[in-house]
Amino acid sequence: MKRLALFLIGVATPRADRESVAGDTLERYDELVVSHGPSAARRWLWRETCRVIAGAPAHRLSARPAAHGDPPGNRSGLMPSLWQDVRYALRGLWRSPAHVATVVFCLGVGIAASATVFSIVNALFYRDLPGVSGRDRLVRVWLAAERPGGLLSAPSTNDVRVWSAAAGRHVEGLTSEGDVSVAAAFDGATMTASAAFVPGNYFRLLGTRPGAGRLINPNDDRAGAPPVVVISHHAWRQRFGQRLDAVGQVISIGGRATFVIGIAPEGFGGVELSELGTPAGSRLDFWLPLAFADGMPGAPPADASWHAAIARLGDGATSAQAAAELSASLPKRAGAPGSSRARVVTSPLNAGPGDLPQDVAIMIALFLAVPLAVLAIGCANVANLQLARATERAREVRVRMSLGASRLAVVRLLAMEMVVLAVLTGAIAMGGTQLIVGLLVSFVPLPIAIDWRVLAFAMIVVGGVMILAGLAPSWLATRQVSVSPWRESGASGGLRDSALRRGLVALQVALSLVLLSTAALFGRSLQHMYVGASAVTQELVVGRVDLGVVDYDDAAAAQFIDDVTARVTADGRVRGVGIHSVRSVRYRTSGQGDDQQQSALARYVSASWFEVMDIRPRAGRLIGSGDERTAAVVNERMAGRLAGEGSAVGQTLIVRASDNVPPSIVQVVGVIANERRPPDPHDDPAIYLVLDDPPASFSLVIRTTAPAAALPSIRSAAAEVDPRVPWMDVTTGAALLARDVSPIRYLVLTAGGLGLLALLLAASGIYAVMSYVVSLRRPEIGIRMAVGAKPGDIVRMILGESTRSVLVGLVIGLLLAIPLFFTVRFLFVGISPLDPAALGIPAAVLVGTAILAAIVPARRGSLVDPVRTLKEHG
Amino acid sequence: MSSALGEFEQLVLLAVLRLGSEAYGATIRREIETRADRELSISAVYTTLQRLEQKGLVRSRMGDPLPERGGRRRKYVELLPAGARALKAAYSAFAGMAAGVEQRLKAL
Repeated sequence: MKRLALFLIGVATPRADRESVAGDTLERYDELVVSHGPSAARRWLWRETCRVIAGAPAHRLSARPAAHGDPPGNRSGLMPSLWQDVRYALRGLWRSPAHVATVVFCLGVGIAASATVFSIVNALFYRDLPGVSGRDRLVRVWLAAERPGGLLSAPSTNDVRVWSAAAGRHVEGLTSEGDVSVAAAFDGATMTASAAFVPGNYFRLLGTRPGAGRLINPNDDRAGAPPVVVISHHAWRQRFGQRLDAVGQVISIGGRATFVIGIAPEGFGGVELSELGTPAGSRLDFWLPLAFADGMPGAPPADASWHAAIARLGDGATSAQAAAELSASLPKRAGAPGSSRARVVTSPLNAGPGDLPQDVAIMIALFLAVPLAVLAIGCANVANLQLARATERAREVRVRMSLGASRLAVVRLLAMEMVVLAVLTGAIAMGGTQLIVGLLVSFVPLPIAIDWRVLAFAMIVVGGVMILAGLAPSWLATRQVSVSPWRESGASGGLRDSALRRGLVALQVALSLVLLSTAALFGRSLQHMYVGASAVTQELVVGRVDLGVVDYDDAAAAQFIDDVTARVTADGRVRGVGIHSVRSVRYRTSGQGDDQQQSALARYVSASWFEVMDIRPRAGRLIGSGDERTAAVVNERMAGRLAGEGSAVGQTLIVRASDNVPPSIVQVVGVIANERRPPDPHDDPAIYLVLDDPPASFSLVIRTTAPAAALPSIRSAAAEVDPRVPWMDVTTGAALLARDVSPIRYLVLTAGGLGLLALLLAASGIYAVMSYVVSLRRPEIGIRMAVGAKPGDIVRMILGESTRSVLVGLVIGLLLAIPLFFTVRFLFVGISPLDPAALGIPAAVLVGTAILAAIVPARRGSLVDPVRTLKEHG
Repeated sequence: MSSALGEFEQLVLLAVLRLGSEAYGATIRREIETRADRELSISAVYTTLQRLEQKGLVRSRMGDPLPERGGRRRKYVELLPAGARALKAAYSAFAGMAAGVEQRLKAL
């Protein structure tokens, strides 16, 4: 910190005095350390730094004349003239409030929208881990193959024990968290809970304090210790009804009576972020001592990779040192030949944007790009205004330049106005952002806040705005002048200028088209999802069951499934029950070798499933109840993959669910449409296979005339058969559909709302440019009318010109949009990225708007009085 | 050489006079901080010294690198005859104006 302060002081001080000032500061600091103690000295040092920075302009001014040998008192430095420019700009702005209002609107909306969207994205990534203290010293620890770039794997319980023992100078401590689902029963109700098995040092290492009661300590994590559990604050609220006597209750977890010893602090959800969009701390329900995992149904064995390991770095240690220290402790593993020894790598605790799956990253980038595009359109408008102002001031600029002002000085003068405006707009927009974010927080389950990252982003945006809307137009405006400084014609700026402005209009149109058609494509996707799904979806109830929490053999599991199905079907409103279980598999065709395996989604379904889901074959037939397990159905996407070798029907596939089981050989008997309905909105290549051995987890799909009313009885069905088996999730198809469409709905709303705004901004840009063009061409129009042109001809001419810029803009827009839409086509459901309606309607709207925006200036042009105009312009 | 000394310039010159050969940034600042009881920044001292130097009232020279300053040199300041004259003039103006009213000044 001391070095940073000295560095800042050095930067602020003119070079001539830098050395002695830094030395003097250090001397005084050392004195103060002796006389007042180090912390007082540190405080003084920072006060002093601020004072030196504040005094820097005066100090630099006093040093300057000496350096240049100028007579003293000549204050010609950078600062005063900059200040003059600012004052000049402020005076100019004060005189034109309408201009200020226009610019603040055009830019403010874009800045506020961008900052709001950024703060949402920011909240998604840089969420706090509540209840974890000293997080910057915590690192995730992984196991990696010796070869760099090898796959990372999570450590096992054994690894964690070895590392904990090996922690030395560079690692203050190491702990882990192994998450599993467990079956729990409390007060006669069963539930599936997400639990973390943690070593005794877990809470101490994370620096977590109990919300109530106490947390797990090393004494609890011994073989034979009484079973105890810490419940999360979220679970306490949701599942224990915020009972004040929750601590001390007994919950049955995995069939064992377990004492609740404490409640974790509010928001604490372990060492990983909760899923996007879910409340903080809802990730885990229970924390259990790791020793308790032995013999717990569903808990992995001690050598399975299931832990998230966390190390706290020792004082002054780097994560690389910690990794080296832990690597040294690893036993030589008898691994695969070639991978001689494993090694330890660390990563920061928080997942950054780099860890995102690509599609989510693209979606977020799109989400951010939309308001930025609106801002760019606003910038184009403002740049247009700036060009107009520069043209108005062309005479002044010319005088200044011919008196010897450098181009830079003139650009500075012109741009300063924009800089002042951008800062002002930025400040207003951030106020607006604060308001919007305040509103959003009550709707969205995300801790959105305006932190320093959002402010930094806003500052970068404002800086970009200054360059795009201020510096660049000023630079371009002075270029014409520097070409011919002596020219004195009143109709300055001229054609070059208006070409530039038409270019800006084209850009606005292009960006508006991209925005509007993005909104339209998402709108069409939404429509498609609703229309394609509505009929059956409204009648479905989907429930997921996990048998992993109980120790069933195949026969017992099959019996369980039959019993539950029978109970559910007993309800007269239920029209059918189907079962499916999803797994990802690798497959190849009979003609391919093992190395040509591809992956696909496999859905193991009961024979009734197709009927329940109202699926009909597109080709061939469906799997019937009489089919052996060698029959398979594929979706169209999959059929497309197989079509290279003729029709998909009749082909033989070799399907392998995992490396440990022998592959099954199946024959494709039919093709069905890609499913785009709940429970699965995606249309990955999929194979539908006969459900044979009862799976560990599966979904029951129930078709009933009254889904909402049937929910409670369906919920109780599983518990009636075996109270230990809970439903993971029982939802109606309609609710699943709503869950699926909600991100798309947000995109439609964002892109649509901002697209309309963009349209408005573009229209006002077109209006301004055409008005300007008309005013430039008054003499020409006068001559045309004098030689016999009718007002209608003039209107047509001007409209034609406006339409030309718009058409150029549309072409540019299409060139931008088409590659973009192809990149993000996975976001669109059931429509092509080149959907004619989604591209055509916005284009037509833009042309219409452009004609409307140009019609007023065109009419004004046609009212030119030829005699007067010709007189004026002689 | 014309204008009268500013108040802060007077303080700096007095400090330089008091300190003699030990006058440099840190000591001048300490002298003013303890005797005139006001907190100031080192850059204020240097700004004033620059001005005084330009007016020809003081001159400065760099000392040797010192380990306790991290190898940095001190900039020693020395009062020039013109500076001494200006200080004297300022002092006599001040003393002249204050003469006879010292008691009342203290009572204020």
